[in-house]
Parts: sequence; C-alpha cells; structure tokens
Amino acid sequence: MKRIILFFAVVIVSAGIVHFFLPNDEKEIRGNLVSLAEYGSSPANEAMLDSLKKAALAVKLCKTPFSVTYKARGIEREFNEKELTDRILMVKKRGGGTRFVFEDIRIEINGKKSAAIIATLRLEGHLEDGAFTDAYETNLTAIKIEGDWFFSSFEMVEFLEK
Amino acid sequence: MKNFLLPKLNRKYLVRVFLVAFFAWLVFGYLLLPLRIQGRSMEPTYRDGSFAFCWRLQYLFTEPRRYDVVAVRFAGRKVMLLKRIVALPGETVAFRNGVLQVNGSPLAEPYLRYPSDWELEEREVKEGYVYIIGDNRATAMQGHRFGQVRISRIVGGVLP
Repeated sequence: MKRIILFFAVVIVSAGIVHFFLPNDEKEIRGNLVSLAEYGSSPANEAMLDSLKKAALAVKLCKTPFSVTYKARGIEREFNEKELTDRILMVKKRGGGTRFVFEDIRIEINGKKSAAIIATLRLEGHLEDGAFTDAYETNLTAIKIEGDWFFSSFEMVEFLEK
Repeated sequence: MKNFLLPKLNRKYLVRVFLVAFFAWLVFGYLLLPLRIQGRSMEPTYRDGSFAFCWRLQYLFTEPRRYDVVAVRFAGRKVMLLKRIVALPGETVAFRNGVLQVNGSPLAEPYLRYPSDWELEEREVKEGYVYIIGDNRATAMQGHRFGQVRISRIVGGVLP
C-alpha cells in the first residue's frame, strides 16, 4: 500500500516539475506580455534614451504592420514599425510614472501558429493629486514566426456605453 | 493550551488542516471574493485602500436591483470595477445640473456627499443591461467610468 502511495506521489511531483519547467507556447506568450507591460511602463523622470530603448524592445515583440483598435480614441488602423515606436514613445511620455500590468490572462492557441489573448491591462501611477489606478479589457492576437511569438494586433474592449 | 499551540501531528489534525484549507480556498476563491478597493470613484461609500467582499451568489436567484453595489469583471475576476446600479433595462437615464434623472424624474441618492455638475442627454438602458455609476461624481464626467453594461458581466454583489 505504501509503495502505491509513494509511486503516485512520485508521478504527481514529476508531472508538476515537468509542467513548471518545460517551455511551451503559452508560457512564451505570457512572458512576452510581461515584457511588453514592462517596456510600456515608465518610471517617473525616465531618461529619453531609456524610453527609446524600451520602445524599440516593445516593438521587437510585435509583428508589423501591427493592428491597433481603440475606438474611444478614434484609432482603428495598422501601424508600421516607425509609427508604432512613435506611438509607444508618446504613451510613455504622456504616462510618465505609470506602471502597466497584464492580469487575468487567457490564451487560446489556434492551431500551432496563432493565438488569441484576452487580458486586463491595469494602470497604476501618481498624479499631482495622488495615486491613480485604471483598468481596461484588452484583446490581442499573436502569431508564431520561425519558432518565436509576436503580437500582431491590440484592441481595447469597451463594454461600458455611456 | 499546550495542545492548542503545539498540536500533535496525527492523522486527525492533518485532516482538519486539509479541510480548513479546502473550505478557505472554496469560499474565498469562488464564493466570497476579497476585494481591495483602488481608486476614488465609489467614495465616500468605499474609500481608496479599503476592503470589501464580492458575494458571487447574490444574483443566483434574483435579478440585479437599483442601488445595489456590484463588481463588474474585465477579462477575469482579479481586477474588477466597483459601481452602483442606478437604472434597469428599459429605463431612461440623464444628468441635469448634476442630478441623476431616471425615467425623467430625479433619483433619490442618499449615498452622495459631493456636488456634481454632470450633464448627459437622456438615453435608454437596453434589454439585458443595467446602468452603473460610481458614488463620487465630484470628478470630471469624462474621467469617470460609467454607463450601461451587460448583466452577464456582473460577478456579484458587494459586501458590506
């Protein structure tokens, strides 16, 4: 009896270790999302050179032309590499001291080469009158090119209708 | 006292620990979700940094009602919007001189403490939707997240 329990314990622990350490598509996409949020975040008084570096790194995670949909701001089009870099730099400049985090991430791999991602983008930062926080539901898509995953579109989901 | 602080690690004790952990996971992970309030849109009812719970079974047998404070999901249940239901499906909503009008009449809102200057044209709440707003209307209307939302997005009621 003890041997059976020990056997099952070893099997469960081994499966857990394999699941935890073995790389897979979902883990790579999650890692890219964490990096994207980090590169999009801007510490207060971030040096221009650091902003440029981070924007370039964020763009490297994306496949251009990159589709952006944010209807509340009238954006619904594809961005080339330069436009995307400029847009990220603009967001970083306007949102100095803002931290981005993706939460509640759900990833659905379609076939082997594309994925749909639903996540909550949380913003945290400080304004003159104190701390602020905000959140948005986002839809992203990703495609796999030569073994690596790249984001191909980003959409802000607006579920509240004034 | 000694047994309470340093219990014997026997089978009965381990079963008790397992049951307590299981029920805590079940209750606080799925039924009564702990909430940490961030932001000022529900002040003074819920202050920035305060705690509350989301009771997920609140609308299991009943429909959402006016004045209920509800948690509305984004992509999941980790980050949610906390707002108050002010209008139900089929009703009309408008703001005139900062006063909320439902079906053309001012709505009694005893929970409001701050003055407001919001103006909003009348609109009808669609079937399957409710109209939600925060209690703090002292902020600029453009910066406040409110509007009609699908009832299916409501995760539960907020306690206390």
